Amino acid sequence: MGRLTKDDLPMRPKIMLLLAFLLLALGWQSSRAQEINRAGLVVRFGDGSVVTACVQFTAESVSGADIIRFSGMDVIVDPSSGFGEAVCKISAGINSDGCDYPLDDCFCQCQGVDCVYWAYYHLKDNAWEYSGRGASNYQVRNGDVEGWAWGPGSLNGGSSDAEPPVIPFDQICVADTPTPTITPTSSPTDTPTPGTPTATSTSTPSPTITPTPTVSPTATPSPTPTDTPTVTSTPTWTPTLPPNVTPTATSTPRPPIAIDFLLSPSEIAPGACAQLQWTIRNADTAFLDDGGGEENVPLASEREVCPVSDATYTLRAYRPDAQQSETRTLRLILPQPSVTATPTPRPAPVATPAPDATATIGPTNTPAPPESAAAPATFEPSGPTFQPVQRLTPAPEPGENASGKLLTFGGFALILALILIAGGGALLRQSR
Amino acid sequence: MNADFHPYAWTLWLAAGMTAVLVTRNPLYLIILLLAAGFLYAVLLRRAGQSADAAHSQPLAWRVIVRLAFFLWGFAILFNALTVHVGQHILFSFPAAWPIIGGPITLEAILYGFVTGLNFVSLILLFAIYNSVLGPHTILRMIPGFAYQTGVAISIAISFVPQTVIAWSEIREAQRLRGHKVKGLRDTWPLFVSLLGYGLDRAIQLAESMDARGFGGRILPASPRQTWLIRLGTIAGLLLLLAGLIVKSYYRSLPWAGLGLLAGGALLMGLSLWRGGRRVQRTRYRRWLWRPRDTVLALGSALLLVAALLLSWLFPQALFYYPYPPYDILPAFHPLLGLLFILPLLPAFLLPPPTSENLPLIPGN
Repeated sequence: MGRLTKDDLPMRPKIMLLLAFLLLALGWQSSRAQEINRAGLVVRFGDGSVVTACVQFTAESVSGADIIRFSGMDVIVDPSSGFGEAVCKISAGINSDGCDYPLDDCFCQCQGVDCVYWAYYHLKDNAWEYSGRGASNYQVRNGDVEGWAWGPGSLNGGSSDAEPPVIPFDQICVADTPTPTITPTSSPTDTPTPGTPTATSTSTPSPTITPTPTVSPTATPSPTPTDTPTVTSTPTWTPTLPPNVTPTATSTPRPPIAIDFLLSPSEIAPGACAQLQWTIRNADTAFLDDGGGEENVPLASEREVCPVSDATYTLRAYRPDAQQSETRTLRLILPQPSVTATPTPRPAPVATPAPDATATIGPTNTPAPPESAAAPATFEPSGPTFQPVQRLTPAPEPGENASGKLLTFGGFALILALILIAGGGALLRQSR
Repeated sequence: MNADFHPYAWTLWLAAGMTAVLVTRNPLYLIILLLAAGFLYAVLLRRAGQSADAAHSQPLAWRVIVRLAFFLWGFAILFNALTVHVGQHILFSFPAAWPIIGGPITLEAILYGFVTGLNFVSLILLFAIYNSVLGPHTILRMIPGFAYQTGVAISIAISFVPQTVIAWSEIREAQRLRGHKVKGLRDTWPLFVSLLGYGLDRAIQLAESMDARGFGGRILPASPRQTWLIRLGTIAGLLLLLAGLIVKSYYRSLPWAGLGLLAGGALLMGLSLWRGGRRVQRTRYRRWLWRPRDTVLALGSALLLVAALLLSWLFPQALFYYPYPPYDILPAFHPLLGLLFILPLLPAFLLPPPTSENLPLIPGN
């Protein structure tokens, strides 16, 4: 057992200092860049439903695990392997697939012949590429698109059935900054798709910001491939922000959001169901609130609702520079004959201001995600918000929370005291 | 005469404690169990300090391993905190550019490392108590006949570290008396040479004493047909076990087929081992006594064992804890379950206080 003698000691601080300098020098490199970077995220659940999110970060690059974690979706990871994190479960709104690690194995549905798990992809050249690395060991940079799919992943022999749909970056991260578009003369017959600003609609640019950034030397065109049929053939350039332009600058080249929201019938007997139907134009994402929290829904869809009491449904259409919501109320006709149902007036669309708080993932990830899942969407202003997913250990009610904690820690303290007394007694007994 | 309890009662105590530790991740229960085991260990240490008997100095020898376990505990916390950057309670952050350790350092990661360390410290402490109480010879005697070769290897392996620790401290003491001072690495050379000689001496002594007692010498002859049957049974049993494991893990839709194969393999293995073990005949000179306090200890241990198994099977959430989101960072606790985890302290109460007559005159086997 070689004990350190005093002669060894002066050597140690020197090495420590050297190490500290080395680490500091390494750390300095990353903390310079402070521009806002964005990455897209496409998650395909087992039933085929797809959720996308746009995640902002200020570091030069963040890990793929951070991207999915700060996207606002609920993720269960297994970090215990020591080689990085394995994603066991992803939940977004009503969509949820995966394994409740650690009660279950992280790859609980991948044990044997039939294997499905959360496969991890990167979008490269407009095609998904199965990731050769784990999410926490892969660095995501500005403009990258990450894919997750609940499926056989690399085990299905190269078929693309299980891959997430190919959605290019600029369709996920619709620019929340002035995005002047240039329509080349070669494609005058192209029909503008909703959600994609074209040159015809940019007739009213705000006078403060001229579309000069297109010629800014720092502008890096995010490549939108022109040869795939799924993508609009209008090449749009999204120049990156010059550092002095703040993201709060707004110019609205897009037409206003239009919501068609139908509820039929608007009165039902208890136990019956009603149909919700909606079509939203000129927005990026839509959220439906049925009184129990918002969830991400497609822009045009329908749903059957069977509430047990009067219910209010709020459909909120959102894009980075505007949002609009419409509310429908479903009344239950009670069996009492004296009550006559009155038709509810159709409320006017209420425009609420767009959220301006945009927390971003810093180089050191300092902003912790909110304690409750109340506002996870603050991490990605152009992405969807999600209904808080049910927890495995249900959060206790505020009232029983205090008594529950008292039982927990009072009981624990009591047993600790008991064991101290008992153990001490046993010790004393032996020393007699 | 045996080490204050019947060895089978101690074995049941160890099985219960280990099962409870292995199925539990909740740190509150584990802390209770660790405290219970720690007090029991302290009681044993105190008893060891009161008797000058060589067999009773075993708890002292295991102290080194327990200390090492506590040191590794700190290392587990540090390692997990530095490498896992998951969680909502961020204490501070290292720049992301630092390899591996760069990123937020979270309370969750520290807690996870703490619980992991708590698990293995508890396991090591329970194991240390069991081994220091019984000693390698008792353990060797409990191993069934067919496995006598394995038994020898196990008992030597288990007793190696404590014997070395005892030898080391004795040699150090002797050298110190001669005025030997350890200043550098070079000065430890005489210590190592003596330690090596001591170890060789002990091995030869053990071999001679086992030979003198006829260990492994009197195996009843078997007919060739019997030998072949036993060998075939063992091989077939092993193959069945392997097939059962494969079917159980690979074809999840057929859980009973795998279990059936496993059971069949285990049965076949057991039969052929038992048949082979009957050829080894043993005689016993000293009998182990089963006293009323052994019954109490066995009942208490069985209660803990059954409760831990049932809980982990029926209510896995009860003993479960996982600090990372989306789970609650605060562990759940139920006082009744907590009381259950005090049970490993039971031997400390059942041991009679030391009087002159129950201090063992003969080494505890």
